[in-house]
Amino acid sequence: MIKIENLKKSYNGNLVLDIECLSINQGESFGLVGNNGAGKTTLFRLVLDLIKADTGWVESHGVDVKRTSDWKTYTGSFLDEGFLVDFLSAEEYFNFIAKINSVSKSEVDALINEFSDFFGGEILNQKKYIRDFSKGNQKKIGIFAAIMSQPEVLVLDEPFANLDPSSQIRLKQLLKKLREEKNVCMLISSHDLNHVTEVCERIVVLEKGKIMNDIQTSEDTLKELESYFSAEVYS
Amino acid sequence: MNFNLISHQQKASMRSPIFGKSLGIKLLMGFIFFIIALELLGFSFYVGTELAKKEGNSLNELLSYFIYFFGVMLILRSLMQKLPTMAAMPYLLLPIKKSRLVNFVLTKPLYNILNIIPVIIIVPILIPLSAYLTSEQVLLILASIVICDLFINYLAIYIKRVQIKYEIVFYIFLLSIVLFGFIDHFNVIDIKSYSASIFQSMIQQPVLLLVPAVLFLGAYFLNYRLLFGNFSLEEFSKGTGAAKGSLSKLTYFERFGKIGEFMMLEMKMIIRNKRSRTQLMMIPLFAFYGLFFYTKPDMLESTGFLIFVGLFMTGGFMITFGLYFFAWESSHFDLILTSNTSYLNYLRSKYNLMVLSSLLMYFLILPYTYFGTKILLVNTVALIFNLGINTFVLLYFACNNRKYMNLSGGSAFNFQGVSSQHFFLMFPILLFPLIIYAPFGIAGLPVIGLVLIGTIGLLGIIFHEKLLLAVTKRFIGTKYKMAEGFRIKS
Repeated sequence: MIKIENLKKSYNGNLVLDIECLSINQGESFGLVGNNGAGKTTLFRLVLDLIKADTGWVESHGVDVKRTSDWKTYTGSFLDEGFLVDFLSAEEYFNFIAKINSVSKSEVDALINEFSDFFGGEILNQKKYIRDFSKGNQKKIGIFAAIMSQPEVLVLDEPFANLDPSSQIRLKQLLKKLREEKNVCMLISSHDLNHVTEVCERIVVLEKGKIMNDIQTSEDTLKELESYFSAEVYS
Repeated sequence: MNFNLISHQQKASMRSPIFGKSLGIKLLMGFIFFIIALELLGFSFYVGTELAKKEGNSLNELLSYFIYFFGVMLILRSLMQKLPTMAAMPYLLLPIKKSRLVNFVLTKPLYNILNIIPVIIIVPILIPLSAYLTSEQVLLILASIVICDLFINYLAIYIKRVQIKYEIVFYIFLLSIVLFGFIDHFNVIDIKSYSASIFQSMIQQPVLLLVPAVLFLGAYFLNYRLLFGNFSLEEFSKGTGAAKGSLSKLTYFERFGKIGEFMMLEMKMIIRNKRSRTQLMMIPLFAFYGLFFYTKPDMLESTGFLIFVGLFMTGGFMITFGLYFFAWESSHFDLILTSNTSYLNYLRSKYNLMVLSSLLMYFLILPYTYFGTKILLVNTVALIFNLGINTFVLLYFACNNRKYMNLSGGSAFNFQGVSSQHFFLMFPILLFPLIIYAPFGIAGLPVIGLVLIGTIGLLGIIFHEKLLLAVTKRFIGTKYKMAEGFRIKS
């Protein structure tokens, strides 16, 4: 589904991402962990063709994402507030995304219904613009919009950050359901090892732009990751 | 303590990412300021010598213009001067008295370079007049200028600060300027004689200087109260939370599919953000441009000038918004780049908006035909050129935008997100057709010149798909750089 080869990106002479080869299969849930500055967001931006790589390429469905815009028809993403239109209300924003992705009104309503618990009554019918929502609620709006286009590939950067505990749990349920029922290929980064091991079948550890570890999630994965990161601290 | 605050302020400006990059612009601005100051000196000296010819009456004559002078200063200051602010949040938690912080912010404008302008103007005027004035009078004139300017300064700051929260103040201010001009133009009130008698009395009775001094203190106090009450708010402007949902009922553009959606998005952006909204309110003023020129018979003779006016009036929206395309959307540009639409259609939505606005302006100024069918002809040619060529010139150069644009500020003389290219671009847009026209105008063949401009514009309209494709290619080439610049939000 997604294939990365020889991908390098540097800012002001600092190499921030250096991946020789990485492929993510259809329906696979792919978790990305790593400390600040490890290159997680950079990798996602490259996958979404938001920045230009120094060398190498990202292929989606066998086509270089730089070449055509085809990948946009089946890719949903939410990285940060740059994906939100802050002067729209939540409903207007959802409708805009739906129209752009040719999702019908009834489908939108069905999805909104499915997410009503996740929204917790704080998103819809609020008579305010997205810029006036709290960070956590903005995140919920963005995540929903990314999922709403019913993508084959879903890219979420730190989806659990800023969410309240109940919403984190609900989001985990929703993501697992997406994986199982819709066979969505998910790329999720997180600082929270607990959440990411629970949702993702495969975890990749990034450090200073390089892949340090590539694990199929099992019962021991969480421990393995914890010992990896604590080794760094105590050594 | 104050020393610490000052040094923090200095660091904030020295270390801002804009500082390093825009040193060139700063030098340019400094140079321009220097030239203007020199010119002001010369001009004032000239005014002084002219006034000196009036001999006995010269003082009265001079004073009769003082109100105009302060009126202009008020407008200049409220438009150009930046509001004195500081990032107050971190200081509020420290054991510093709030009143001290407020006073610190409020005394900052005293060190503004604009403050020397009144002195630069008045001193050279007084030099040729010195023969007719006592030294006491000279001192009093200077004192009245300085004190009144202080008042004007703080009044301008107050107006500027209040309008952040109450936008209507801005429009009232605009309206009162227009009203003042109207009163003056039609001599409803003899402003000059009022001005003369007010300032004469100050010079004869120096005690009266206390009046502007008290006004100044009053303005300072008003500012103080406003700032003291709102200091802890993170952003003064974020007072009203409720969204009005303007344009949410407008569904007409839905029939155009994705392109229509992007057009709607752009229109909502314009209406719902303060900076773009105030800019939009200015556009109808472009339509009045014609009134200044068409009423003068000798202007009607100069076809070249009429072309310029026509381009300006039909292209008002284009010029004010088109230069900053993409930058308007800098806060959600990543969404634009990842959303499920072709870049061609995205740019087409902008093209359509420009076409729509130009047609709208064109019909709005149709009544000017009253001044002659020549005006109709010239404006039609200007419209065609704007639609065929300038739309693409703007889209092409908008791809150079790299700066995040903060939309919550006011628009008048707001230079955040503006770079020098935006000023220089005005020239080709307005002058290129004139250059085409010039040889024919000089040769006495204005009609051929007009036909040529119209033909070039028409070609642009006929081949607009090709031109859109070319612009799209450029957009794809520069989008990474744009997105990178827009992500830096300071």
